[in-house]
Amino acid sequence: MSHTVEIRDLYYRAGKNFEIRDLALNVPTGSMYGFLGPNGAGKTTTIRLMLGLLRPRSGRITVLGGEMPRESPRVLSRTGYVPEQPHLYLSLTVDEALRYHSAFYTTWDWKWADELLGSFHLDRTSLLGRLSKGEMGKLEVLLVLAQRPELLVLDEPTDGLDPVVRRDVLTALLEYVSQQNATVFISSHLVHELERICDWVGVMDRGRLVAELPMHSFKSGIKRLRVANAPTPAGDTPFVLLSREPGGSGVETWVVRGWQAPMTQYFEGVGANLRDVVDLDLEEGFVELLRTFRVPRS
Amino acid sequence: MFKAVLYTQWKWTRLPLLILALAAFALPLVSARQMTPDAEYWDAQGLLQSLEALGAFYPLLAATAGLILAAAAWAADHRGRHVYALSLPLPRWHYVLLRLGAAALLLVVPAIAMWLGALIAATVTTLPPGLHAYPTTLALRFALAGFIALTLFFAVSAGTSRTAGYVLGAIGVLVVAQIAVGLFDLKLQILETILYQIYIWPGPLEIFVGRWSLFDV
Amino acid sequence: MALLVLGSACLAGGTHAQTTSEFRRRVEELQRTSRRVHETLEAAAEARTRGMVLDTLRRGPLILVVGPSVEAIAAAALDSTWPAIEHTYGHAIAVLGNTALVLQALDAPEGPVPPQPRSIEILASASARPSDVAITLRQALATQIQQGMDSGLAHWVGGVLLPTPTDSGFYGPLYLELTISPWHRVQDCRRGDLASCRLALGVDGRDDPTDRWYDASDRRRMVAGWLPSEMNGVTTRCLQGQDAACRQALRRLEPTLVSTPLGAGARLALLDVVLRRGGTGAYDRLLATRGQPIDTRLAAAAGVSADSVFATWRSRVLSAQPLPVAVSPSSAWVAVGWCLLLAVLALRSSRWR
Repeated sequence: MSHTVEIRDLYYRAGKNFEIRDLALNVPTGSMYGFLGPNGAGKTTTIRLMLGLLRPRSGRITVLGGEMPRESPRVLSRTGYVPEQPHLYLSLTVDEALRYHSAFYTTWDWKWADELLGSFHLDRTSLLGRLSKGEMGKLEVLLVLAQRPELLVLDEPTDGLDPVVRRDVLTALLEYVSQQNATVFISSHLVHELERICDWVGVMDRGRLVAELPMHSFKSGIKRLRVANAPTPAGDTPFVLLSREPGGSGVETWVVRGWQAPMTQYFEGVGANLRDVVDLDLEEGFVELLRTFRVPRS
Repeated sequence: MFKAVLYTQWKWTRLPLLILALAAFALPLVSARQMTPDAEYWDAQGLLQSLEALGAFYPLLAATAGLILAAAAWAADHRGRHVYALSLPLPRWHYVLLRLGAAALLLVVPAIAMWLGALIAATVTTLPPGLHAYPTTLALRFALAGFIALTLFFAVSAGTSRTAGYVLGAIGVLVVAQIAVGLFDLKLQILETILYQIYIWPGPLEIFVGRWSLFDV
Repeated sequence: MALLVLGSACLAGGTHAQTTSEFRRRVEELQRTSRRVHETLEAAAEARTRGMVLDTLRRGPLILVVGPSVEAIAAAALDSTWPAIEHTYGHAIAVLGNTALVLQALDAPEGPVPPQPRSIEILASASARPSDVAITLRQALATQIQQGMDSGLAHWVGGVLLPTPTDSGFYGPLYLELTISPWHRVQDCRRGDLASCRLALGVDGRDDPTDRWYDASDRRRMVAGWLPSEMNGVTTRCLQGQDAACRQALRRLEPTLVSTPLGAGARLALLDVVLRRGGTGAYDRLLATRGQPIDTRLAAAAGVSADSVFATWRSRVLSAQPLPVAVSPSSAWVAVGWCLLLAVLALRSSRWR
């Protein structure tokens, strides 16, 4: 499998309290990679390091075959980036912003830009400073899509947008990906949104990558089990026990990762009674994963 | 790319640029107004003195033009914390050069306005014998002073806040050293020496000092 | 009191034989001194009745009366002024003994100095700087001393020379005058013709100034500028180009009223050059040559030939050319160099590297 983004042994430090240590991340080519993490986990910093906006203290970053930040211009010409905070020049009109942006990208597609303008209902003559949050979000996505990039890096692109705008943005993204076979790297803390569109997920917390795996594995692999007569300690388990909490009537709630159906035999082996297996959605799984990462399992 | 960068900077500075150009155009004409057609030579001395008084406005205008254009070149990027600029697909130094080049090109506008105003003033003015007009010299000097101011403020604005801190810190150290020298009654003028080096040849601000006038002997 | 002073002077002078004229001169001198002492004592007495104590500063023959609050300022001003006065005017400073100077500080807390007999008042502020008071003192002393100049020289000088410790700042405007003057003698002087310098300065040609100091076009300019528009057609003919008409029109002016092509400042500068060149005693030699032509007097005072004096004056004026407004090539290249250096610094900023 080839990777559009490869990060190895990345170390970055900012100030006294924040660091990214030993980060290894791989974004498969053609995938939609959801980058999850709570606020302050280091997602934006990782993205900035990936795109050469920041320089790491050590480690290696390769994007689209180019080493970053050394080959930034060549890589960025094929990369569309929507940052977390709006970064466009507010004194320009929509039309001027398009003309300015297009001047830097040889792959700029005016025809498609005009189509997107229409479908996003953006007025060319509007000043960027007067656009609503939703309109600005749409414009930023329009700019990167009209570039026809091979890699799209989106940092919280739908944060603060209403459902209608979010739908428009995600639809346009998916349409682009289906046409171009581009790779999308999208970071968000809106887990349920990524659940629908991403096929890979990476979870970051406190400067560390907690997990990186296909989305279906992540979703299907984390279960909540209700276990009666649970053994203490759990011993060797075929799955990863993320947490266990006592419940009423001697029934414990276990959260496990890597669950597969045949693993019920384990409980039979230890004399426990598996009462229930509950699927967790991505958000619940994400929360449990983080909780386990932050507190050693009991 | 340069056209796009130039357009943005023009848009950000078109109003102040217009005012600067008008002021640059008008300043030589105001000088010429003092040279009435029937001025006798014994009036010329007084006229030249009043022209010299007006001369202080030329370097001031040049410095103002440089400051405004330099600040405007970076203001929008500062607001966005340079994320847009740093994510563009061109080498960083190339981007800086585009911004500087655009600002320098815009600075030509008030310089040309001054040249035109000076040419008109020189043409319509009857000078006493022995006095000459220096329209091209004046405009050239104004342009050079403006470019010095532009590159100086541009370099400061391009720096990080840490760089600004170093610069301010260095100035602070010099001031403290001067005060300490005064307290210990040592005959050492640190600030005066440094300022002197800045303002005399070949210091960076040498072109600002001296006499500025459209008309002279 | 006066008799006492007289008597003492006689005894001090000894009893040796004197000529009548010497004796008369001495008696007159003693009478003057006695009168001044008497008047000063009277004034002091009057001041005492007002409860005001006056200070008296003396330098050579000069008496400077000041109020107590300005005594320190006046002393400092006098210290900075007196050496140049003494050096420049030599024995001529004796004329200062005829009148006292009173420094009136109208804002002095003790009030104004009461009127002093045979004195000249000069005004200053009690809070003035010594350097400012020095300027006023210098003006007053120079004016007083130069009153002893003979009328011929005084008329030619046309102003008061203020000796200063360093070269005065009036050469800059003189450069301008020499450069832009429309009068042809001045232009020729600037080009190096010393004879024209003499004429432009009014040293020569005083017998027929309109003819010798000015040429035909100059005369036409003068008539156009100075004389009424119509004088029986003479002015009109002059303005039409008839030089004879111009001369006729200008002949109506008294020769002494025709101003020299170069102004009084130029002549004062020439006097300054002469006194500096001549050193100690130059002014005395200048006064001693009363009745002789101006150039001879100037040469005698300077101790060099007249042509040397004029040449020195001309080169001094020409060397006072103010800084040019034009940019020198070196300045322009230095400016370009700094622009490039600052641009490189911007490019090398840590954010943009």
